[in-house]
This record gives sequence, structure tokens and C-alpha cells, in this order.
Amino acid sequence: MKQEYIYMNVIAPAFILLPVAIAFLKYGALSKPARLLLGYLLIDTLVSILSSALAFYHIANTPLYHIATMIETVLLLYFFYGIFQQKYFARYIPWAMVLFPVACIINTLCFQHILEFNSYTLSLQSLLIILLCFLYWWHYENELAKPWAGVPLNWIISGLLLYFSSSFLLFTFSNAALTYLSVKNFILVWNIHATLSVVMYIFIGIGFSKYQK
Amino acid sequence: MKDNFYILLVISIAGIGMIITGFILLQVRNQNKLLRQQKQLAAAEIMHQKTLLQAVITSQEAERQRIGSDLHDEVGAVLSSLRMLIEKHSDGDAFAAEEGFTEQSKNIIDRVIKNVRQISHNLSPHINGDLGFYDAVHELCDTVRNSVPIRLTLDFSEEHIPADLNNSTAMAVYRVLAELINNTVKHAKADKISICIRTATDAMQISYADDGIGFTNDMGFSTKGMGLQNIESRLNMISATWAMAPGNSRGFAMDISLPIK
Repeated sequence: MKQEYIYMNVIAPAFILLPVAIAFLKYGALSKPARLLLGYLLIDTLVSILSSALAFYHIANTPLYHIATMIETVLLLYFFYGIFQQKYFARYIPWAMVLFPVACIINTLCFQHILEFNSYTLSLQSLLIILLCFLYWWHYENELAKPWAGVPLNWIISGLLLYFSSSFLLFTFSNAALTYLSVKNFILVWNIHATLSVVMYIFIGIGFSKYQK
Repeated sequence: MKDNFYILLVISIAGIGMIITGFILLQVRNQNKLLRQQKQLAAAEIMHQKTLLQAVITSQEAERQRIGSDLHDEVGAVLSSLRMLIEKHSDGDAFAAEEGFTEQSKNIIDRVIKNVRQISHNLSPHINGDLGFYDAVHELCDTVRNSVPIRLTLDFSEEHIPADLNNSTAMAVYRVLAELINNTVKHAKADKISICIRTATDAMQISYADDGIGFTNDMGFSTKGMGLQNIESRLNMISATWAMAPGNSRGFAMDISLPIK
């Protein structure tokens, strides 16, 4: 494997083991939404391994992303549904959990073929997560009983917002980048994306570590 | 590239717009919330000051009533008897009565002088300098010991006389102690009061305790009786900090710490 791919395909994805390990250690203390997030991370781990393996054997891994985007988004939406259960807008989240996979299927069938990178649905996924992160900040900033750093969800949501808001343009223009950027620059861009995911995993790991029985 | 450029552009604008709008809305909301909290705090502070002012005014009125009553009972009555004595002797044999009249008049005038001195002392105890404070506190305790059946112990030796204690601060501390003793005598049904005054290099520590029925109101200092509000006002005035024993404990206790320069 080329040196520039090692960070992107091995080192950065390996960081996912950090939150996963912490989540298993603290499993008894985790809330239901946090356990769903662990499910998301496990799927993400599986996707990373499969994607790297397929890339290693020069097999197209875009179909994997088409499916993974659907499953990961549904899990993340369910995670937010768990957080917002008491809020009036929570009832719209199950709708999004049904409509998003439908949109993914329509996109695969009509717009972006299974062998193309699913930039539209990934962008839509980012927009949804960014919106839900802001809804969290809007509705949960009143909890002043604990210091900011003591609230696990503050770390988790910060990690998600940081990753999805910075990766969102990259997802949107990923196909364009493939066309217009040199291979070297294209790899650089995806290395930046890998770094952002490392930051997200660290934040989620800290969030899991803050859960107390 | 097969992606539709316009779709990409719309998605990008929507996403960036959403992020920026989100931050602006959160900022606006936080600022408004902060402003609201500041207003609430200011309103609560004004309300508290009003309560304290009310306590000061009411206690002033009570003090005036007490002075009026003292003057009426102690001075007015004695002067009336002096007047009656003069009237009585103006009608009779002046020579025969002269000796007794002079003696009686002197006694009555002495009583008036003593009563006026007592009232004046109660109104404003003579506290001058560090020793003045020491003497005044001891005198206050002696007066209490002689007038009510409560065992009062004062632990305030000369070595703990604070140096450079200005007169107004000394007066405030004296008044606080007097108010605390007054509260105990009036309401606490206590058998024992203990007062301890210690002075370190930068602060004077006063511990007050009684073994009465205690102070069970835990609604906050400002909602307590007027006596305690007066104490709070005076302590605030001299920048002292204080702590009271938790509610429902046996007896009342208060620790006061007064910074001294």
C-alpha cells in the first residue's frame, strides 16, 4: 500500500477503536442513545474495513457507501430521536428515518449510479445531522446543573457537528474533486477528511467516558 | 463529472447558510437570555435593598418610640414629682421645710441626671478607640448578666483587642452583638449565651451561640425577622462575612468575620 494511503485507510480509521473500546468499558453506564451511537460506530468500523479491503483488491467500493449511508443515517437519526424523545419535533424524526432510505434508493436508481460516489445523499445526510446538532444546542443549553465538559452529549454532538459541517462540502464536491483535482491533491483532501473523522472519534470517546452509572 | 452543478451549488448554499444561521440564532438567543438574567438579578437586588431599607426605617421608628417612652417614663415622671414637691413646699412654712426640700430636690435631680445619662448611653454608647470597644462589649455583657436570668460567657481578652478599629466599625459590631443578644433574650428561650472574639492579623472573628430553640427559617436571610435584617445591613456596611448554623439545629449560632486593615 502506498504511504499516502496508509494514514487515510489504516491509521485514521483505526481511531474508531478508541470510542468503541471506551463504550464497551462503560457499557453499563451508557444511555440508550449512546448505545445506538455505538451501533453507528460499529457499522462505521465494518464499512471502513470492507472499504479498505475492496480498495486494496481494486474492487469498486461505491456500492458499499450507497448502502452504508442509508444504514448509518438511520442509526444517527434514531440516536437523535432518543435524545429528543420529549420534544415536539421528535415525531418528524421517524419520518426522516423512512424518507431518507427512500431518497437514497431513488438517488441510486435515477441520479447517481451504484458505481458512482453518492455525493447527493451524503450531502443530505450531513445537512440532516447538522440541523439536528443545532437543535440539540438550541434545546439543551439550559442544563446548567453540570459544567459543559461534564455532559457526555455535549462532547458527542460537538464531535458530530465538527465532522459533518466540515466534511459536508467535501461530500458535495467529491465527484467534482475527482474530475478537477490531481491525484495528489485528491488524496490530500481525503486525508483532511480522515483527520476530521479522527477528531470526531476522539470527541465521541471523551463523551462516552463522561457517562456515570 | 456527471453531478449536476446547480444541485451541488444549492446543497452547498443551503448547508453553509444553515450552519451560519444556526450560530447566529444561538448567539442571539444566548445574548437575550443573558440580558434577561441580568435584569432578573438587578430586580432581585433592588428588592433586597428595599427590604433592608424598610427594616432600617422600621427599626428607626421603633427606636424613636423607645426613646420617647424612656423620656416619658424615666425623665418625665421624675420631673413631675419634682414639680409637685416644689408646689407642696411653696404653700407651707418655707424655713421649716427648707432643709428637707433641698435634700429631696437634689435626690430627684440626681435621678433625672442618672436616667438621662442612661438613656443617652443606650442611644449611643461611648466607643472611642480600641479600648473603648473592649469596654463597651464587656459593659454590654455585664448589663445583660445583671438584668436577665441568662448565663452569658464572654471570651474577649485584652490581647484580642483589634488595633486600628475605627469607631463606626466598632459601633456596628457592638450593635450587631446587642441585636443578637436582644434576639436571644426575646425569642430564643435560652439559658446560655457564649460570645468569643478573636483577632488575627487581618481579620476579627466573632462567634456567637445560644442554646435556645434555634432558628428554623431556612427561606433565606432576607426573609427573616427585622432583627436579623438589621444585622445583615450592618454587617454589609462594614464588609463583614457571616455564616449561621443550619436550620433546625439546637440553638442559634453565628460566625462573623470582619476584615481589619
